[in-house]
Amino acid sequence: MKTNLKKFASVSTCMLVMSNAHAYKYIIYTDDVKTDKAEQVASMMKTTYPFSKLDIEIEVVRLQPHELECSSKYGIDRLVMCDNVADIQRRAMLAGGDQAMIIKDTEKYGGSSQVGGGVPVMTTAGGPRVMLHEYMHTLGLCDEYEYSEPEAEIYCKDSDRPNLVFIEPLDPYGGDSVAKGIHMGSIPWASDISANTPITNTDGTRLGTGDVDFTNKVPANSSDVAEALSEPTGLYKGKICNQAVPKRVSWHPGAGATIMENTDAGLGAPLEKVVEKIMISKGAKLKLQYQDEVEAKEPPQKEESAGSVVVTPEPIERINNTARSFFKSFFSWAKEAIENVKKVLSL
Amino acid sequence: MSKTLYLITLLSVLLIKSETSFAQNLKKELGICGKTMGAIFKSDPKAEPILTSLVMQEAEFCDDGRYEKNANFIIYVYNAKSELIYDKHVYLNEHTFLEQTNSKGEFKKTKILPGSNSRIVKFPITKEMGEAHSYKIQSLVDNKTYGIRKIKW
Repeated sequence: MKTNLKKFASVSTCMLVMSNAHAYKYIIYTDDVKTDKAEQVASMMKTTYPFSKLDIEIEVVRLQPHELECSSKYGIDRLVMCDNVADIQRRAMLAGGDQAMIIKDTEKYGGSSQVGGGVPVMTTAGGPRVMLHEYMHTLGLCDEYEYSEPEAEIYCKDSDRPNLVFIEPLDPYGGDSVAKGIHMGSIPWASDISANTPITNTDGTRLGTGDVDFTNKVPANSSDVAEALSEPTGLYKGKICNQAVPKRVSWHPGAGATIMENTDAGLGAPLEKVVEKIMISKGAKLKLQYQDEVEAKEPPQKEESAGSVVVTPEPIERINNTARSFFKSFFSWAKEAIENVKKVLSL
Repeated sequence: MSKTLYLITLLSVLLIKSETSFAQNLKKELGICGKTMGAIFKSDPKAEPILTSLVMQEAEFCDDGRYEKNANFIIYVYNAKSELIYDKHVYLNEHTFLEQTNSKGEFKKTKILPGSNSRIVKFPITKEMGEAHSYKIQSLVDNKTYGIRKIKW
């Protein structure tokens, strides 16, 4: 009897879990015959925090070079870009993927990215962490190294990013609380800055928790625990738009050089938080053992039911609310269940 | 006793597979919302943003990513009666970054292209919503709403 009970319990659990399971799925397409680099990228992603605590699935698919259509662009042989991105994305979508990635087999260093949910691309000659950097762009994060003037001209006109804010200091401030009162509303990661962390220095007169120390590469975190908060989230002066005309003062959440500055570096505690929030908002689920942790940290987001948003009046905006009463629905379900049982029995 | 357990197991599976509103409500609580409508969302500064390669897949999909952080677009989906059946806030970067690294992981050359980008988007479509028939895209950056387009399957 006990054995039967265990069997049924495990079968029911498996069936329910299988019905609900939807890991966030990455599909890596590569023309590398050995697929070594793709395996390295998959392993790196799965062991890099915060991805290590997320329920993610990574599939590697080998394609022929002509199916990727990757080549050097803009006369720079190391800048690789792929023309068949639309087809690759379609393949990934049909295979149940949420995100496609490409690894081009070539001996030249470099990585490229069709940013923002497009397809991040790297070459086999680059380290696996290049892919993580490119994927960070897909999530909306910006670089933290210094752009040359032409790039700064394009990028530094834009608005803030999850890891970048442009604030022109209004020094001197009358204290940290004054600076916080003025600027916290415009800092994208303000909720991660603790009350004890100042956003000013020199007795609250000058803006900035400090400058980013680009000689200090934050270590890669290959555990499933957040980086220790030796580096508190704050407001650190960066250099990305130093060459923009006019120069724009840029600020980042972390004190050290992150993967957005050098691919050998890690994310650091502040970026780990930022990336985790983005991934959760994109539908990636935490592994079962971490779910309570987040529920305790953040109140659930208020979600509207499907179709209940208010939008401009064309076309006819009506909520598709055809739900019947609970009991009516229950009987309807029971009827359907009986029909299904009949079908199963007749097979 | 074992027969009862068999029945419970069978009914549980039927309930999960079922598509009545009762089952749908329960599924919603469990995080299962509907069949998967997949599409490629393309944005190009020189043209209107569009959905292409639309497909309906039998696989059930629960959308836990309806409100993406930093979203810069909202996609509205309508059924044949022009009823709004779903909306989704998505983020799509407007830039393409071509970057070159050296063996030390340092970035040596970068080219930023303010150009077209695309991404996979998925929508859960339940039986009660009816068939997805058209869509509308709103840009949150300039608050511009583009015209309704019929879905081409």
